[in-house]
Amino acid sequence: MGEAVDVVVVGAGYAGLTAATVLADAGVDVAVVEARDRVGGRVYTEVLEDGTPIDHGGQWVGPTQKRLLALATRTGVETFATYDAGNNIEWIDGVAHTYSGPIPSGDPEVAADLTVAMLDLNLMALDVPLDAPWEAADAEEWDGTTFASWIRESVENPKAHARFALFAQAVWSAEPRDLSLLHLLFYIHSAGGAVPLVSTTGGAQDRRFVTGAQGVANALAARLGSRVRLSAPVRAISQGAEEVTVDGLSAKAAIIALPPTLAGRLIYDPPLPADRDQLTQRVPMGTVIKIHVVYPSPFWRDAGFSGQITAYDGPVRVAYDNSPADGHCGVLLAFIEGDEGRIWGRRTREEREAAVIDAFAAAFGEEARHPARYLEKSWADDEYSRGCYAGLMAPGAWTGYGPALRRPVGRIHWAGTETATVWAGYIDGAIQSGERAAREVLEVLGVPTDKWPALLPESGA
Amino acid sequence: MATQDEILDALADYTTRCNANPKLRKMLRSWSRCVQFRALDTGDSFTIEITMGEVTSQSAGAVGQPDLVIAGTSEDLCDMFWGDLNPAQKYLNGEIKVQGSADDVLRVDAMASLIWIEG
Repeated sequence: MGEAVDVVVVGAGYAGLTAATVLADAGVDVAVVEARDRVGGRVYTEVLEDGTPIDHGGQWVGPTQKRLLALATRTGVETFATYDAGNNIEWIDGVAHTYSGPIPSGDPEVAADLTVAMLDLNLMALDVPLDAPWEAADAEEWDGTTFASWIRESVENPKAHARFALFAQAVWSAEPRDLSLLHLLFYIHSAGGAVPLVSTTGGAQDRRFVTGAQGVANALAARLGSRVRLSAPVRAISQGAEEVTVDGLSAKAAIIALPPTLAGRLIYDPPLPADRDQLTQRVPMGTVIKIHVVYPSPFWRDAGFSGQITAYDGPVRVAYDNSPADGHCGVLLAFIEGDEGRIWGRRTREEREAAVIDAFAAAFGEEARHPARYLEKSWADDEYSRGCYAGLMAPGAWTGYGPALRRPVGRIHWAGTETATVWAGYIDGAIQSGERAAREVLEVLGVPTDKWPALLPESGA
Repeated sequence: MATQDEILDALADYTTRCNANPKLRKMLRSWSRCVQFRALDTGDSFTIEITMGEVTSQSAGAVGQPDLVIAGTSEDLCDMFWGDLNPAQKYLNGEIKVQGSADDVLRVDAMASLIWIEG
């Protein structure tokens, strides 16, 4: 006879840790099982010898991500503004243009087209119900359209097409052809607009965590103490009338806080209902390699550059200044996303390093050729994420399988940022999902509502 | 600093251009709201009523119960009405503040941005 708890949570990312925290605070006996030897999931901070935190995964927090900000305050993890002073660089046909703000303006005509199309997307997005995208009046049409076909039909200026491809690459680490228009609109609505998704100051990339983004997760895990079990990959879940059993650990309810594609890798007895199982086959993860190059100092700042790069070809299309809060060294961050992530993922580390250094030298000068460190993380190569930033709903997934995303299956409840309604795909969405799943379970367990911890502040405007 | 009369002139032009913009009218077709503008430096207020995507009244002062409040310097409000500044940028920087539901904020952003782009 195995061990028993009230609730078992699978996955110690932000969703799972939040769910477990809510349950523990309500007096429920909870265990969190995590495959990796660390918590945080797709948020992973490596601390270098000199104390510099390197965020290989999710790292930013924006002003409307109130849940994450509240947890940071509660756990005493400080934030600081992302470096956003000086000029951004936009490469157009091999020529560097400088700009500031969220919309690259090297070609003003294209920038205007881009802004108008973004406004169109914003207003279409308002017609997508956040808790049921499949109920939008135009859901069938939009879910049968890829973002690529929408761009071809709706954006006249062909020069603006590459900008929209970059939008897909930067926000979803995918290509426009991978994305259902309905999912794109859902995501925009869930973030409060297209501009907040791509903005540094005032947007999703507004602030960073002084000790790295895993800090809040570490603090939640420390509070949960021995309830969190690391290096314990779950393979099988069985449930009967009385209990659910997760690899020998039995409970009254389980919360699976994994992206759908990882949840689909577990073996269920009895098997999952068809719509839930087929949903997990239609939510692929994005493809991204996140690269950090460490320099003795943030030398580009002195030359008036923000460190931010926008480009429409080559491996490095999005870059940021990712230096530590105290600026004791300089760190440039490059994302290799979508098709480029697929292409460069098949090449060697040395080839990637050479290409990234070339891109930095082209933008910021020869000093970029003398880094102190090169670090990279290919999320598609990580078996416990299978890609990043998030699972994206392929065409037909929302309209064909939407209701199966959050609907519990017997004693099994679903969390994870992919199940969020606000800031879906972000850390903040993961927290919302964990809180929501935990409250479903408190209800099922019959815990009196006066024992439930207060809700975190609502994210959004 | 812009005077109340200067802002009213700009607001009249803004109203005309919003109402004459077919794209905007289509985007806002089912939207009715009371929007108040506050000039923080002069203390002046202005109110517009939007009915089914059309600006149906504009007046000086705080009239009625606003669904949305947009606050900035008199100069910025004036420039925004003339279509001379990028409102999204000012909003992200916190120089123009908007109070209201997230969805309403997106719609007033569309109004101001379209006038800026086409202005």
